[in-house]
Amino acid sequence: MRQGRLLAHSSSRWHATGALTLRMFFHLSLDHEVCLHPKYFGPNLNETIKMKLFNEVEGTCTGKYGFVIAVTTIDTIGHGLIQPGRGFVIYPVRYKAIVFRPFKGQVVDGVVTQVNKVGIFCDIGPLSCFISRHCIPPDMEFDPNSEKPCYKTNDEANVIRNDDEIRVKLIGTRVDANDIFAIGTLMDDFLGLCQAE
Amino acid sequence: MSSDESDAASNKEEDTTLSDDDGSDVEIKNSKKDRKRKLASESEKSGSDDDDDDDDDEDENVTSKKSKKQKRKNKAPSGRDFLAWDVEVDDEDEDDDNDYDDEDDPSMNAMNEREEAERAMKEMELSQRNRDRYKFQNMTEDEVQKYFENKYKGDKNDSQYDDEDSAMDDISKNSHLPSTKDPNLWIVKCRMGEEKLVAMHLMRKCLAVEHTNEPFQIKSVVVKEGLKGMIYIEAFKQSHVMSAIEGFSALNQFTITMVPIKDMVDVLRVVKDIPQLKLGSYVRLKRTMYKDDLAVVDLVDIAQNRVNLKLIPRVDYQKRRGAMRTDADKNYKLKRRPMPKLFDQDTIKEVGGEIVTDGDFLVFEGNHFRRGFLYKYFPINAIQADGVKPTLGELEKFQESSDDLKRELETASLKDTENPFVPGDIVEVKAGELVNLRGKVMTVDGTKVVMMPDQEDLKEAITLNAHELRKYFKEGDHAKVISGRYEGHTGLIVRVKDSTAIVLSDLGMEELKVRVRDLQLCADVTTGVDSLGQFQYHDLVQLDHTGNVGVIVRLEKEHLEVLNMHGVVNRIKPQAIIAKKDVRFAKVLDSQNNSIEAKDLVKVIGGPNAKERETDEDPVGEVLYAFRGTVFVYSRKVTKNGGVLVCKPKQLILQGAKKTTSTPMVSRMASPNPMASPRHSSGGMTPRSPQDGMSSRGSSGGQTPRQGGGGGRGGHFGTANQQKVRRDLTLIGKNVRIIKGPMKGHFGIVRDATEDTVRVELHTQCRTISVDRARVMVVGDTGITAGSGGGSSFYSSSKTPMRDSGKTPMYGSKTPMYGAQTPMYGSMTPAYDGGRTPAYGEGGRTPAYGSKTPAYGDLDEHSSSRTPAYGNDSSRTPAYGSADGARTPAYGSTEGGRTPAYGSMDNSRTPAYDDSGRTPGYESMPSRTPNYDSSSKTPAYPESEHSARTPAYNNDYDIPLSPAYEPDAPEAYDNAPARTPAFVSRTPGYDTYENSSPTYEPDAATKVEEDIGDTSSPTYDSPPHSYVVPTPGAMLNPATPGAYHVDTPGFAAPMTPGSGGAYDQYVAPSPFAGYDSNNYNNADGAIEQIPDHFLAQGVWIVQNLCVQIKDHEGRFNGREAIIKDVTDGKVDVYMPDHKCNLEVDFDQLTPMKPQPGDDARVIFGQDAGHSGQLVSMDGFEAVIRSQEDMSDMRVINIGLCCKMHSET
Repeated sequence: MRQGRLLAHSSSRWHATGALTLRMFFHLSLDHEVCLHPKYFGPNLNETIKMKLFNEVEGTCTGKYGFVIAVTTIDTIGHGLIQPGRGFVIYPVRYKAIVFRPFKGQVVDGVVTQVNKVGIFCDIGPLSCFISRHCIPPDMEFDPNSEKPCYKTNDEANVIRNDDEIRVKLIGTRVDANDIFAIGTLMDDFLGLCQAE
Repeated sequence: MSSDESDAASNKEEDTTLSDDDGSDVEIKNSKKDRKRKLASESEKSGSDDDDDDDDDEDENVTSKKSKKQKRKNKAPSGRDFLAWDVEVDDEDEDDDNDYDDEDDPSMNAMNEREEAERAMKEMELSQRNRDRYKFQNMTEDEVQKYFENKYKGDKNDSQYDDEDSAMDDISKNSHLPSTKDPNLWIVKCRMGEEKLVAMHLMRKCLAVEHTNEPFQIKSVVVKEGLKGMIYIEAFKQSHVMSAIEGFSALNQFTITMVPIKDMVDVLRVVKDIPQLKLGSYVRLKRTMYKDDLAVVDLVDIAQNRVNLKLIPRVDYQKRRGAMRTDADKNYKLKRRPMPKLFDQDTIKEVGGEIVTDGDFLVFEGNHFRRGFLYKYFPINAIQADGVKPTLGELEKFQESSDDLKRELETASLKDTENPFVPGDIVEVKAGELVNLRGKVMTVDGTKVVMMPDQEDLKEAITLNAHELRKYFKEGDHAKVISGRYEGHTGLIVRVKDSTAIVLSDLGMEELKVRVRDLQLCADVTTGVDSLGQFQYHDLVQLDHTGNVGVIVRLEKEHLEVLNMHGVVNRIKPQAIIAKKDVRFAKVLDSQNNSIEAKDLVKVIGGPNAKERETDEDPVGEVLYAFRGTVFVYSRKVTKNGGVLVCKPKQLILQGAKKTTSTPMVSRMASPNPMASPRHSSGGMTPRSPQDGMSSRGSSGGQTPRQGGGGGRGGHFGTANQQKVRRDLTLIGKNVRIIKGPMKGHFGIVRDATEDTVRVELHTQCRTISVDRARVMVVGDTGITAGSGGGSSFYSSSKTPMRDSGKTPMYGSKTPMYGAQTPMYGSMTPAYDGGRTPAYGEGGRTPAYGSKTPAYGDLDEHSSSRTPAYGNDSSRTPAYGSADGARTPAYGSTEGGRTPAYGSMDNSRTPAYDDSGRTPGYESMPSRTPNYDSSSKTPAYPESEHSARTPAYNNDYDIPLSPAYEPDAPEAYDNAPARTPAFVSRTPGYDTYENSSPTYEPDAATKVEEDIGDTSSPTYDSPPHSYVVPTPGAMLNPATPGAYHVDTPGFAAPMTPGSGGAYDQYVAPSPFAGYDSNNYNNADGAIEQIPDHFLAQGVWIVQNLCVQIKDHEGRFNGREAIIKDVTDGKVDVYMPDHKCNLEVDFDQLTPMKPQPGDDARVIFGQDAGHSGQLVSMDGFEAVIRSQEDMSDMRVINIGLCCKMHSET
């Protein structure tokens, strides 16, 4: 059985209010329609639907709910509806899933994927985040000439380069229909390179 | 003005002092002039000469016209610019006067006057300069004249205000204001639309009652234009009004109200709509030569109702001026207005124009220019100030430098920037006591903004001036640029610094620097500017006619940024683009010669866009466009140029492609499809029902290529996709019935047919529809859809040629189709005249062929139906044919399987082979080998098909089974040569296949022929199925399947244990299970039998074998015969009983069992080819001792041995 790590549990009201409830993981009840080819009609129908649901839902992103990390339970599989003229059947499925929905103001850890003069790109799990040069402390400067391009302070005490882990504060998210993009900042206390633990 | 008055005035002035003419108004000069004239005439007691008379006359009858004439007449050039214009007439007169003065008067007097006049003029000039420096500058004489006229008219009415300045005017106005002593204004309601009529009636009534006892006591009636439903009546008392309007049905007597005194002025004030003009705002001219030109307001002179505008002059540079002027130029008329152009000093000088400077102005023909622009006064009503929207082009012209322009573009807000706020904006107070207070705009009223402070303690909205506020944005806000260069973009605000914000555009990863006031919070996420007219972000556009193209990487207002083929970004206007390019289907080859096209993912491995360091990852992007030698790649990770990279194809590698060039084929072969398809076909092959077979076969056939495509990653390996759709001529024109789908039951004629679909013109409806091939059935066929069974087989064979591109996956699915052909082969056989070679070749080549047989049998009683045909041919034929058909696979399999035996295991057999009369057949083999090898099996093919087979084919046609046949046969024919390559390409397939049956491998290497056998190996599994299926044919040569297995020990052994479902299937159901390898191996207690098909193949036949004749003439049947020779598929035998020679076919021979003491030869099985003396018999086991090597004793099942004739 699938069991995701429940980092935050919030069933009905799940939106984060301000910076106080910095929740980014939610356990939500969601709906999905699984469209099935008739060839799957058989003893394993339910399993097929489940598999298909996992395939179709996990790892996707909706602007509203964020990234679906894992389906925890499948609550109901509704009656299938045969599509006229096609033979496909649509099953409404209600399931619970853990979603990752970043909000403005949250502080998260990410992995640097790209460093260039415009700024730093990092991945926060499935979320890609951009840290503009303007949001990097001014004492850190871009050094295009080092082995890996990096942002570093003059004394090289603080160097951010590819694959480093950094702590970022999200200052904005852009929510598209099927993607979320965030911009972050390092201009705050305790942000920046995560010291290796 | 009337002369009397002016005389009076001048007299009066004279009486007072001359010094009081220091008034600033021009008219004073005139009065002064008059005065001077007066003086002159007075001093000139003797009367006046003509001129003077004229003057007097003029004075007496001054009319504008006359004086104008006068002026014209006397006009003389004067150096004094201002005065010369202004008071030209005066000057002249003055001069004249002075002349007279000089002549007749004490000069002192004249001098005084002159000084006085000059001084006064200077004063006037001074006083005027500030206000209306060029008042008369631009006026024509007419205008000047008119101007004076007006002035004097004014004088006539209000002479007392003649030389009062505006302050006096105000006072006088105030004195006119109504007081309590004045009559009041009364509002009388009036029927709508009849206001004027009523006024007229009142007028008449007034006249009518004027001389009666009761004249009107009202003073006036006022109808205000545009004011509907009421009129004003001026009267002292309401009763006066009442009496006046009595009897007017249009007026309401009962609602007469009085206008309060202080409002009376307002009632009659004519509100003139003076546009609000601000300095620097853009206006357009409504009249004059500059009509519709854009101008910038430089100065507004409300009092004078005029504005000084800065505009681009329209100077006529053609016209010659000054000294350059000739007579011709005098009649020069401007044809059309000159083009607007910045003032060009040099050109003017060239045409003789004189330019003087005035400060930093250049003055030419009375017009002032600075930095090329014309500064000129225009009446306010000649300009249009509202709704002026300058184009960028116009604006550009107003910029004095490009820097200016940029600044302007970034900062300029073309709209009224008076109040940039809209409700909902978050604003911050930037000045005053409340500085830094933030709040939300609630309402906006003109320049006032009502905002709700964002402070808990401040609960009331505050009203502030717009200029005290600025917009406030936080980092991370999503905002839209509402004006300026980036208008329309949306993005996330990354940073706000002072009055500029840095916005990360939603479109690509670029940062825009925008003024805060140009931003607006934008809740909805738009993609920004992604289209401009017909152009869209990332469109490929043609830039010129030489074939330069580019990709739009940014859209701005009125501009596009295009990344061209050379990697340079150009900022151009949309008009400069010639066309959009459509190169969606263009393909180029990458560094590994993979074909890449739009939407492919590629890695950039070279060129300027490649990774900069070894440690980096290669940039990966999606191909936007491939155009000639240029590929535009879009990479999300790249921030510059909107993520678009320009690459050469050789700098790219298709993502996912292997490094080897042979990749396509191998990988295709490696795809599961070769294996999968047989499985499909196995389903199809099962003899259950023809329909079943068809449908599944159809589907498998259809699927396979698709899988191939999928496996091969789209257009890359999918050569299939690149194949032109082949038209299937065989079906065209056929009557078909649609047997599935919504159109089921309709009949129609096939108009066009491809592999997948047919276009059917319906009989019943006037239309042509596309139908899947599997869904139509040729009318007249019995349950055979056009896309399946025989149809599909030919069909697939037609597809085979495509296979040359290596579409192996299809191969498997196609296999069954081969089966369909087999019958032809069989039928061909009769044509063979011993020339087995082709048959041989075919047999060996295609186990697949064998598989076909079943299909054949399956479909209907084809095999049986065929038989008669054969029968017709010759009694022998059927056996032969069937044997052939059946044997073929066996043969083929044998070949594949046997080969090892051949090559390695069973040496003895080979010589025997060679020795025997069969040699010719053999010889043909070697000869075939190279053919195969060279991949040009074609020669063998055509030979067999066209020469040999043709008759058979024809036969087929004639016989009733043709329907199923028909479609296939021609196709098979046509494509036969083309099929050859397929074989070749199959070879790799074999290699992959090999892995599953290792025993194969060595064989493959041994012989080329094997290769051929092997190549077809993927189809191996399918043949067996079909084999099993063919049970119908079993009657004819029941041994076949068994033969298959038995024949190929090397093959069968590994296969059987390792057999997947497919193998099991075919093994199990085989009616000849007894013969399969297992049984064979374990069969100790029974006489082994040699499968018929093997016997029928005649491979075993060598010279001196003793055989029995069967199926021949009665007298020979059952007789012993000794094989003498084998030629061309026929065997010459010697019949000892009849002492004659006989020519028989392979399948008319059965080996004779040797008896102990006989010479024997093992003709089948592991030891085939071994020969020697049968030493003894132990049950079924015969001990054979080799004659060459007496120690070589083998125990062989008697069933596998054949007696040899011993010469001795």
